[in-house]
Amino acid sequence: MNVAWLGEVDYREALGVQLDFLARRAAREIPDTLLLLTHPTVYTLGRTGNAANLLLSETELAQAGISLERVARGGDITWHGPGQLVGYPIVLMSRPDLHRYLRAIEAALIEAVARFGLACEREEGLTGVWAGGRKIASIGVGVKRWVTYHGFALNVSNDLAGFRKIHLCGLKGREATSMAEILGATPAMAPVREAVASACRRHLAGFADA
Amino acid sequence: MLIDVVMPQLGESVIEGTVVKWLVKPGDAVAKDQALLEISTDKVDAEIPSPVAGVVAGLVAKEGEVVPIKAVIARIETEAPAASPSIVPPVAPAETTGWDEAHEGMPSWISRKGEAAPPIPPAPQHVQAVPGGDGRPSFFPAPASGARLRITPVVARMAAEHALDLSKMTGTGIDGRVTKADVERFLAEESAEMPAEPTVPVHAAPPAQVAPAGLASDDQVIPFSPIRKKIAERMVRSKQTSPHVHAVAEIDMHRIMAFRDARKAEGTTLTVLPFVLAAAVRALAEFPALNAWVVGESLVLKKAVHLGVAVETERGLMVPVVRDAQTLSLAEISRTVDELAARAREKKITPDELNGGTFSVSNPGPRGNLFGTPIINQPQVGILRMGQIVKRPVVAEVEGADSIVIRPMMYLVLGYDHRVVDGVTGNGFLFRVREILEQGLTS
Repeated sequence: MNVAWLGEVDYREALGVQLDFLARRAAREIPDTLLLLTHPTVYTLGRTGNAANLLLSETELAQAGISLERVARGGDITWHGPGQLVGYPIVLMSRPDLHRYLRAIEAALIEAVARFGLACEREEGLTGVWAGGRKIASIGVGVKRWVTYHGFALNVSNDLAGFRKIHLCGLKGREATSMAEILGATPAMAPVREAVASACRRHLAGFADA
Repeated sequence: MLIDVVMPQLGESVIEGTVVKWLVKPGDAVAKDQALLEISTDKVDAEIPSPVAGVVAGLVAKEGEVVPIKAVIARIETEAPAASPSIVPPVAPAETTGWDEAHEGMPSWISRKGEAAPPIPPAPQHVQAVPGGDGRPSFFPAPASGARLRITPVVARMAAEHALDLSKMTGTGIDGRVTKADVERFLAEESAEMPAEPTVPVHAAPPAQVAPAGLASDDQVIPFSPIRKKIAERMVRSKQTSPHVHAVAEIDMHRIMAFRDARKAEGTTLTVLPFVLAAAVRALAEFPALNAWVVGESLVLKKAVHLGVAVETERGLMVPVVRDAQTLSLAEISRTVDELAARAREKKITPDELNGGTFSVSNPGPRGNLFGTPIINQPQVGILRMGQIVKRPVVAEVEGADSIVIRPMMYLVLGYDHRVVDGVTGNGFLFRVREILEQGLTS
């Protein structure tokens, strides 16, 4: 799996990049690729999501200069912004076992944050990675031509206020946390990026030939 | 024959899926692998490709309906027998979930082997040749000629391990076969040319064709944004289209600066840019050949002066247009430019405000250096580029005697299209702009 660090990319632009990579992956021109990046502040809503889970009005959003993007991924509403590491694995599935894929992303993220001394876990029936009952990473995936796009967002050092304006992933009463909040210190993005990249290389390998 | 399309099982633990949206309707012709519909399970949205080529005979499941796996969701009429052995060779070893290739559109490597269609049909030999026959994707493209690669299992394994494109190698074996010795020689030459990299198993990190060789792990890859692509394309096109000639004028800006300082004392802040724009508009009236477009093999002289003003934004260069500048006063030009630049930076500019310029001015600002050679904004034929304004000692006539005085000086460069603008016209225009600025503009 190749890994590309894109820096901060506008949400719509990043979607275009993903679709470029997806088309080339579907055509077998490139290997599986993990795109790592951060987004400027944005709320995104999965197609099956409910806009009522956003607790801000359109006017409040506009005033804050934040957009709400409706996207063709699974999952409900979430927030992206600076300090959050976003990963878009472009992975070809020769046998679409998408739940195994979701679990593999979770495993990769749990392993990556463990390197920083954080113990995180899955919660039965709830996709994502949790730390002490609070959500540290969100996952939402899309598939076209049996190639995955969209992916995961790991809260590294971002402001968590953005999550308080939504029912996180459509779950009322659930809160978000970040690596910085738990560690009591802000980890640098670069080593987190490296840890996530190497864990993804291990856990997301081999879906094409399963 | 009529083929049933069933709700695919998207995971061992998945028992149903929601039909989100049909992308085809009855009667539509569909290609194999064309997206038929979007389905959704928790956390995953998937587009389901058509397992076969044919015509949509009917949609069984409705949008919004929750359908159990293996239930029929659509029917497709194919012209040829879908499961003809010549098209779909036997599927890979049966797996526990009992995947049904013909009905569920599984993108198995195996089913692609026999297809002649693009994009990259690996020759069957590749698979047979890979020891273990695991059907792992190989990243060597098919030879351009369509000729099949003839290789031995040993060569195939070496190619997979080193991620080599065998079609680019010269074979010395029978019928041009690539032999083990060829691969070894190729690898030896390559390692002599390239910095050593640890050999990695192909399934862990095959080489990217997106990333040119020599990328270090801490290199940052920045894909072109849409606006960057557009800028790149326009720059290249302009340089290829027009033979650019550049003329440079040195202009004494002391009258402009004095007027500007006086207005500043009154509370109105003006930049130098609108003065240059206003001077350009006046000079263009005398040199109409520079307020023009090249269309095909014609020069189109434009009556109205629509000035493109280059603005740096965080997304890249944008050139909003001051319309009918010949009807605007200095103050109106100044106000319009400020508004347009602010809208460009706030991303609120409309495409209409970026189109239709007849002449351009680029102002790189206080850090614009001595001068630069601007690229013409096609299909226009001329562009002015301002340098920074610097105080210099210059020789001027003061009360009838030559004196050395301190003056704010600016280099102004005109780039023009030498296909349609001759030197006498280009130089004459720039000289006229200089005269207007040195005489001073106040309205």
